[in-house]
Amino acid sequence: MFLNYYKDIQLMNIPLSLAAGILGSIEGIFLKTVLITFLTVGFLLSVYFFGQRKAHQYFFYYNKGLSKARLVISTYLLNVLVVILLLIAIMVCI
Amino acid sequence: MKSHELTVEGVRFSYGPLKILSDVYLSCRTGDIVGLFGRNGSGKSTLLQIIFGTLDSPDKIIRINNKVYAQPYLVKGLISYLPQFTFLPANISLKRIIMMYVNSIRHRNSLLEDSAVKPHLQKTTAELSGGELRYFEILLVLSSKAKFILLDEPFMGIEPIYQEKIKELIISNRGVKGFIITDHTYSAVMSISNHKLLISKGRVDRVSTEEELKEKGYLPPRQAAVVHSNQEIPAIPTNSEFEIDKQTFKDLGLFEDNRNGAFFKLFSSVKTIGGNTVLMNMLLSPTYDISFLENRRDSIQFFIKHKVEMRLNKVHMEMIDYYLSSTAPRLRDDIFHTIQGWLRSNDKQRNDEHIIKSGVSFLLSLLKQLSQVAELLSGKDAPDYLLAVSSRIEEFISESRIAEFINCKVDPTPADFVKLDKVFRNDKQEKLKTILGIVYEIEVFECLSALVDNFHFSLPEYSGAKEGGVQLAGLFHPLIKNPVANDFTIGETKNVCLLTGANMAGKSTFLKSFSICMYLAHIGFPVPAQYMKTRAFKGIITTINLSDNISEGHSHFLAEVKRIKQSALLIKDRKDIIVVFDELFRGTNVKEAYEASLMITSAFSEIDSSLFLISTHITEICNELKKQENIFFNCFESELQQDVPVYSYQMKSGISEERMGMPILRNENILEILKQAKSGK
Repeated sequence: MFLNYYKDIQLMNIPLSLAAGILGSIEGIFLKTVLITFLTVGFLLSVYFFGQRKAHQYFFYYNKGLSKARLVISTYLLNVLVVILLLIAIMVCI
Repeated sequence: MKSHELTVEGVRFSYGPLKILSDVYLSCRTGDIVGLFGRNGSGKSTLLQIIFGTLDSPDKIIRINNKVYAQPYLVKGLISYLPQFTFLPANISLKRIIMMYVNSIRHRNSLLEDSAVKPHLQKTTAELSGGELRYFEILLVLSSKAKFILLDEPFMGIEPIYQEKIKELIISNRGVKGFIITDHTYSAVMSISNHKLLISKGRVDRVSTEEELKEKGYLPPRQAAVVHSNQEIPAIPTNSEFEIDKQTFKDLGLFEDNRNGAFFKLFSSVKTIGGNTVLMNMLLSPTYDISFLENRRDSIQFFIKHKVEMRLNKVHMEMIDYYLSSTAPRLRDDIFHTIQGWLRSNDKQRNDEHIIKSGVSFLLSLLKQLSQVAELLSGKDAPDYLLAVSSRIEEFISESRIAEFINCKVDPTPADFVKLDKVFRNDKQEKLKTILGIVYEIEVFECLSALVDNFHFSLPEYSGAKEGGVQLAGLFHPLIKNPVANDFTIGETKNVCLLTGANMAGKSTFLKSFSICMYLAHIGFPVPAQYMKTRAFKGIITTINLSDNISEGHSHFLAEVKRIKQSALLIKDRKDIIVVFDELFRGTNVKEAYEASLMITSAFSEIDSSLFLISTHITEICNELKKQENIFFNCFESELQQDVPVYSYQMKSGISEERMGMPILRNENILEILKQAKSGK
């Protein structure tokens, strides 16, 4: 259930973060821009647009006892975890 | 079954300075279906979301089984909510939604096997029509363990077939859940809800009937008539209205509290909403215009003779009405709109297209049927009314240039749908409404001809004379099983009939049968008799089931006096009136009842333009009244066989002195019961 919401948010967050990363690559900071956007502006804009375009889909989750705050916080925490795992993977690879 | 209770108290809500809800209270138990009505913006959805817990309201108290919850939706198994617009993710299949949403394996399997869902399991919600999607959403919401279900506009934009399915679904779940429903399809909500509430000016008021919804401004005061009168089709003359009042309607059992009375069982073969509206309009428009009545009677006669029938499909007719009133954008067939539609395809667009295509197909098939009926109605022996109807139908078909589609046996192409949609909803919409009015009238005529065929009714004969009376052979009460028929003539030479007989001998039933017969004859309908001939009267007033009026401070006697005064005023005003009294002056002592009955009956007998039927137990007045030439006496006989009253229900000439009150009282063993009560057994 929650993963469906997570997937919907990331479907917007990832392209936004990559686009920001491309802009950042001009300055040579592609990865840093991608990850920061992924955890900040990209995430916030994704949640905002989801609320604008699919507000009624929140009731899909409300009916299963999931509040909006719980969905957003859980998504953010999972993103932080993803970023940490990604950084560890990069460090191990380097 | 365990019962649960949801109570909502102290709900207040404002948008800025605008107060939407103020101190709302409502409750719902397991098994309840609470219908919530209110105009747009009255706060219905807001209230549901406050109850659900996703919208906050200061001081609100939401209790479920006496436990207070701030946000009930966060506690599993308490409450589920169907929002006004679709709430399901658009990009995943129905099967995946079921697997995700429904925890119970039993419910999951039953949903996967549901005949309406199974064919669409691999589709996404975006691929379903509006009705299919709404039905699926409701199934999902009901599959939860929630004790209370809040449904916000479950019928919105849904075709009648799915409305019925959704109603059945709600009713089948009411044994274990409580429902609060709000929807502008008020008739659907009215038909299933056991508590009805109206939100108006921030307050919630209890209502029980459509009349109250009208009084409180939610519904328009009167429904518009379906039939549109015009010059060619004869309309009811407005200056020849037959007078009848509420008390008489009540006595006849035609309309009860402005709703259909028991008498309506006879017309149960009228199935469509439009047909019932036309029937109601006819029943509420009696007239004394003989040529109009003869035209209607001859039309029914024509239907019987030629066995004209259309056998309308109720669901198809509702779909047609829905389609014609739909605001869905018209279909277009140019490349630009095709590409635009393909790019912007969404649920609403698909639903609109489905409504239009179903509506057009059903209308086309109805018009095919109607053109055949029109041919039949233009027969040589058809009355003027039916000839006008037939030419109106043919004129519509030729004017609308749809004859090619009506004669074509191939299904319409997409381009045909576009053309027909334009004709039906744009170019000829008003004329089409008139044609639909005719279709519904044909349905009513079919039903009336069945009354003659199946219920032994007959068509009345009318006498154009200004004087004269009524001849009836084989008159019976249409709601009694195996009724005893009676012959009766009044007004030829004598216009006042005094009816006597023991209790339960059949006096009141006869008076009702006669009154119903007279009323139906003044609508041009078949009557419950083997034969009837009557002249036209200008009104009827009956006093059969009169009760006291506590609110106005009227005792039964005063109510009777007022009623007699009302009858006298009507006679003074309209002259040719039928007056029926069952047991005159039953609300006073024997001595005064005798004097008053004698005085009033004598006074009535002075009026020779009207008919009077009066039943009485005071047989002593009969001897006094025998002197009056225009009064005659009929009675119902009865006899005692082994202390049990036996009735023949046959009316005879003369006066009955029989008394059955005491034997009936003795047979009920009331004294024994009182003796047992005294001895404490």
